[in-house]
Amino acid sequence: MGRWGEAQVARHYETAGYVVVDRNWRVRGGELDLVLTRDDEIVFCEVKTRSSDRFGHGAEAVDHRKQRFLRRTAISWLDSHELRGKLRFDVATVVGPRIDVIEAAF
Amino acid sequence: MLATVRSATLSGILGRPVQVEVHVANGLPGFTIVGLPDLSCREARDRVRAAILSSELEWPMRRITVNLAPGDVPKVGAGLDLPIAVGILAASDQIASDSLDGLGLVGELGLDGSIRPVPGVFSLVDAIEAPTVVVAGADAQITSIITSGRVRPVDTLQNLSAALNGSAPWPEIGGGIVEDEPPCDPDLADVKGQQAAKWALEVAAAGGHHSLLVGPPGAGKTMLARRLPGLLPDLTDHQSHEVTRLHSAAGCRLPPSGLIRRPPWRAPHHSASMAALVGGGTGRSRPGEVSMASNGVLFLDEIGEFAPSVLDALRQPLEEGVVRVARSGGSDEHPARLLLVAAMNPCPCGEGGSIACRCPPPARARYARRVSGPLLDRIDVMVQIGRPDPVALLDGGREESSTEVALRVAEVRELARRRGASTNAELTDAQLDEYAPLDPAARGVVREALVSGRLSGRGLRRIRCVARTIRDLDDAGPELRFGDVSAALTLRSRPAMGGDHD
Repeated sequence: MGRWGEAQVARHYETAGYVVVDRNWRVRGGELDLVLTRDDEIVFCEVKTRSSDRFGHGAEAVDHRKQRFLRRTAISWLDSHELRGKLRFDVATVVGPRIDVIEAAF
Repeated sequence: MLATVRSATLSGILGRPVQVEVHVANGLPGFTIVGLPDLSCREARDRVRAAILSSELEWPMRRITVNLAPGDVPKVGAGLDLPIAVGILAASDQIASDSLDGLGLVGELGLDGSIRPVPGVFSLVDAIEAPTVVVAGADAQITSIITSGRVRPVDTLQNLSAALNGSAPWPEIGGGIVEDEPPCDPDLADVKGQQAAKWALEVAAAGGHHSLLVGPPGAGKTMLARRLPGLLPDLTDHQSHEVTRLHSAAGCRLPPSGLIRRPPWRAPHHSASMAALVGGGTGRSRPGEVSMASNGVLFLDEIGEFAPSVLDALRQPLEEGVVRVARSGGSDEHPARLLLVAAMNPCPCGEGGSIACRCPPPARARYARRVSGPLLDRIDVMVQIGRPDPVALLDGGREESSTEVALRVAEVRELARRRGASTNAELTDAQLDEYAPLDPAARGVVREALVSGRLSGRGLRRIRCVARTIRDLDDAGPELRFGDVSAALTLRSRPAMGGDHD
């Protein structure tokens, strides 16, 4: 289900002109769901998929701890890649057919 | 995206205007409140969210920042729940921002979206710079009386948002006028005998003179003092509003009608601290017992057991009718126009120098010194209470009831009001010259007392006030006679304390 949500979000970004650089990039202590780029921007996107928001909105699950993990993981990603540019962290939520992308969430 | 709502917060017993600014922006969902909120104010986060969700309104899944301006005034209490919630609704376009023009809001929210009353609502409404203020439905009747109809009572957040959107009329919350139960002050007729003490109490009530009851344990000091409020007339509208405001701001329970009409009665235990008695405390300065007793009676039982420093802190408020509490965070002025009644035993064992007294003379002298001279100088009516008369106690006839005495007291107080003072005790020098001239015989007694050093300058003023009350209770003639002044002098003379018998 999470994979399916990530694919949906990736398609959403691609229609907006982004290029998917990496998917589910893992390192010890973290994972990046999507890494995308457009012009000189590098976007790290965390995807939260929910079948309904009965148990809280997906974006609420990205708390301070998670944000810290994502930042640290992004730095490891940059260490192992040549790509440079302006960094941005997005959070995308997928609830059923609806996709919400919070750009520059933190 | 941005909405501003007017509200207020309590500082001491006064309200301070507060602007609640709500910003709803894109970003991770979150809710922060800045602008010096205290703990209960910060907890608004959870109450507001639950209230909005249970009111079938939408909680914006975005970044919500609430700023409480001005940023240097500490915000206390839950009264800002409602303005924060309405600000969020306005900033997320669920209600039209222009519907908030000229409107202030104050109220605590329940998780079910109900709007609850907050302490000090009268002071808050006064402070809000808006023609109309939304308050909790439960506060409707009383707030509307005190603030001359500036309020709009609403009972739930849902009804409020409907009214603001124009999709429903403003709710009509009137309800019947709730009447208080008749006061059940204990009756003076319960006290058998003790005629002299009862008369002295009547003088104290009629003229607003501070009094001290001295007597052995079980003689009825507390019993008599407890009957003093029953002798006082109902509060005037102005006093009643003042007392209600203060008690509400202090978080006290108000009577069912919402308006306090009877003079308050405060009887702090003798372990009371300075801050408890005159006001203060950390953070927000709270009114002390002297302020809570304003327009009513402060009863200090076993006054000799109070800490001397605490007692002496009473001197300035007794003189000026206000108490100014200064703290590093600022100073507050609270009213302190009270009638003091104190009671004490004549010595530690209580027998006061009679044959049965077991106290060594130094202990008696020490006990008598516990109440300082300057404080005693402000007490005009000293009442010596002896053991009750066995005849009156066992087969006494009918005693005069509080109602009868209260009628006379009310008449004397009315006379004082016509002279331009609220009580005879507050007559100014000019008023005394006009309304309390001494006849030649009275002048003689006073001169003698002044020459012998028994009477100070302030003492003379107080004697004339008390003598005026005594004459008013008699036949309200224009001049003070020999009898009136000697009676006043006798009431003022220090009662026989244990120490005086050596």
